[in-house]
This record gives sequence, C-alpha cells and structure tokens, in this order.
Amino acid sequence: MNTLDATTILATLSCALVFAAWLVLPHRAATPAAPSVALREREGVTTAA
Amino acid sequence: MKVNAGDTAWVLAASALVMLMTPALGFFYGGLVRRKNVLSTIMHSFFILSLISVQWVLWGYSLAFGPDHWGLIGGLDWAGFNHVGFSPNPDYAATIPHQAFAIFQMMFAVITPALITGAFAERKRFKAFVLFSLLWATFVYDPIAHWVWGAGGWLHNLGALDFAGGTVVHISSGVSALVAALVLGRRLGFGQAKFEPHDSTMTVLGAALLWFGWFGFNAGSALTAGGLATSAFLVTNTAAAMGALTWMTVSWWHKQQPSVTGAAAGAVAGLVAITPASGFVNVMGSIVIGFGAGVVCYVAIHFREKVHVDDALDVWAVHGIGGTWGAIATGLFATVAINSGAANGLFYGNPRQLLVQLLAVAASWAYSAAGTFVILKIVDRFVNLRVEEEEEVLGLDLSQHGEPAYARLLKEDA
Repeated sequence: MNTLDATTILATLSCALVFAAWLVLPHRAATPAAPSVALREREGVTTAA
Repeated sequence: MKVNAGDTAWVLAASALVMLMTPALGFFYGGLVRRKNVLSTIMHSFFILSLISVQWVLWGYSLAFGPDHWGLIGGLDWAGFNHVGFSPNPDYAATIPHQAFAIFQMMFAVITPALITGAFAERKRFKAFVLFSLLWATFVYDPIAHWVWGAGGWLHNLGALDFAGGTVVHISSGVSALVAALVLGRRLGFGQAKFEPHDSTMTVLGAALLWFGWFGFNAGSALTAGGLATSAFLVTNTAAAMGALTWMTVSWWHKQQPSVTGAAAGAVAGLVAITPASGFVNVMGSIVIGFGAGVVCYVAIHFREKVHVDDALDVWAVHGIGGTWGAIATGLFATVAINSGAANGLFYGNPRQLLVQLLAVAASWAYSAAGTFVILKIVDRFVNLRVEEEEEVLGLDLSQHGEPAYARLLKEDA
C-alpha cells in the first residue's frame, strides 16, 4: 500500500485542521443562569437500623 | 456446506450487540426530548424491537432476502422462516447457519424504523405510529434491503457497495424522517421556545451504547470472525472518534463552546457515515469519512433549522445526510486491499464505482421519500397521525400511555 496516497494525505489534513483549531478557538465564559427548579437541601433519611 | 463455530459465535454475539442499539437509541432520543415525552420516546424504540422481531419472522425476512422477483423484492417462500434452517445459505453467508444470518439481519430491520421515530417525537399518535412502522418495514425497508443485499437485487447486481446499511438503514430512515416531519408538521411552540434536551446525560449514555453496539453492526457484517471483521471494527471506532472530535470542534468554532451533546451527535454521525464503507475502506479513509460526517451533518442541522422543518431529533441531518456522505465516500475510498471481493473507488482508479454509489443513493432517496409519503397518507385516512393539541401540551407519556416517566415532576411539566 502506498503510504502517501490521496486518502492518507486527506486524512492527515483533516486531523491537522481539527487539532490546530483547538489552539486558536476562543472559549467563552459561561453565563450563569438562574436555576429553573429551586434547589433544596436533601432531607434526612430515617433508617430502621 | 460446513458451519464454522467461530464465525457463528461472532455473528450471534454481533446480533446481540445490534439488538442493544435499539434500546440505546431510545435513551439517546429520550434524553433529547422534554420530560413529559421521554417515556413515549423510549417506548417507540422498545415497541419496534418487539414489533419488527415478529414481522421479520413472519414475512419481512422473506421479502428482503427470499428468492428474487425481478430484482425488486423477495418472494414469500421463506415466510415464517420456512427453509431458514441450520445449514448455511451460500448466497449470503457460507459458514454460518442460515438462521444466524436471518437473526443478524432481523436486528437491522428492527433499528431502521426506530431511527425514524426521532423525527416525529413529541407529537405522533401511538396507534398511527404502530401502523406506520409495520407498513414502513414491509413496503420500504424490505424492498430496499432486497435491492442492495438480496441475491438478485438490482442494485446488488449493479455492484453497489453497502457493507452494513448506509443506503438500506440510514438513507432510508433519514429521508423518511424528513418526509414524516413535513407531513406531520411542527410541534406546538416550535420556533418560539427552544426545546432543550431534558437529560443530556441520558443522551450521552445512549450514544456510548450505540457506539458499543455499532461494533456488531459493522464488524458483524463481515459475517466471519477474521481480518475483515477486525478491519471493520477498527474503521468504525476511528470514524466515530473523528466524527465526535470534528463536530465538537465545529460547534466550538460556531458557538464558542465545545458542546457535550454535540460530541455525542458527532460520534453517531461518524458511525452512520462509516457504516456503508466499513468493509471496504482502510483506516485513513475512515478518518476522512468521520471528519466529513462531523462537518456535513452539523451543517445539515443548521440548514434544517433555517428552513424551519421540525425534524425533532435531527434524523435527516444525521442519518439521511450522514448515510449519503458515507455511501458516496465508499465510492471514493473503497479499496480491494481491504476487501478483495469488492471494488476500488475513485481514489484507487475506479470512477465507475462512484457513479454506481450515486445511483444507489438516488434510488434510496426517491423510493424512501415516495413510499413514506404514501404510507403516511394511508395511515392518516384511518387514524389521525398527530395527537390532539391538548394531548401534545400534556405530553405523550400521559396522553398516550398514562404513565409519567418521573412521577415527582409531574406537576412541573403539566
């Protein structure tokens, strides 16, 4: 099998594109959203033991 | 014809892996819908697992794989699994019992109509869904399976390559999903409110289980336990991984953050796209296919949103477009170095294969769209396809099944 065939070149370019993108992609800080359901403290559990 | 124990064990194990994919799909879809519809969405997959298991034994297998009639459909000679016994059928798999092959194919017939359910989630009447699924499996899936995989099928005779179901499973279900979404119309509130997934953890778990089951789907399609199954396993995993990485990266670029459900959807897109190619391409080809799937399926979803089609869980974008890309990519990257019984693609000096793949894609699109439209119109004459407005507001879990998925949250949803 030819190691530098068109398929291999395309695969290498695809990976390079994706991996390189991670170096430059911005990361937006999350906007805190109000929880839609009120959070409650877990109630105590009574066990028989 | 001698049965090979290793091949038989592998195909039976692969059948069980593929079986798991249908409930996994239920969880993948179930996480994406609103809380009031999760149980009905899971029920779609679970019910189809039961329904098509029976349909396949009674007449489905015979129509798909039975003795050929005009290249279009199998006869009813094998109805009720008549003549489907323990001896191998050399037309399909020379080293395993004919029954093992039929069981393996049953699981494909099961998951294909289940895929469509994502398009009409949250609004289809259960009775209409039952009738539609049975008719669709019989008049759309079984004929297309015969064209592509059946001995004497016209696309099979032309040399169309579809290792595990790019046309038969994914194009047929994806295109049918688009038609179903158009015929049923949009959900109440579509375009006004954003329908967020109610449980993304469920969706990611479903995607992971789909990925696991897909090894049976693709590597099992080798129908032998050897080098071809190993290669199919490798390219399946690689394409899924590349699909997830690519989708996540594209969504990161587009929306400034790497999406978790996006990564899960990307893995599924990669799996869909590698399906037709998995027995024909090398691992470098699978990287390109996974990359392409992550891009084209992501773009397709945003196109679908732009034209306001309510394919609720994006079956068309992921399965229809992903399957189309995979079928075309097979015509580009197939190589006889992987499968000496197949053909080379364009990149290996055989442009004709690409034309055959395009014909198979066009035929699958056209027949699935027309067949689904006719079936939906027929069902609609007997049973309303959609639930009533108040039933949709209440949610399908309660209105169709009388059971809430999460009893404590009942008040909040209503």
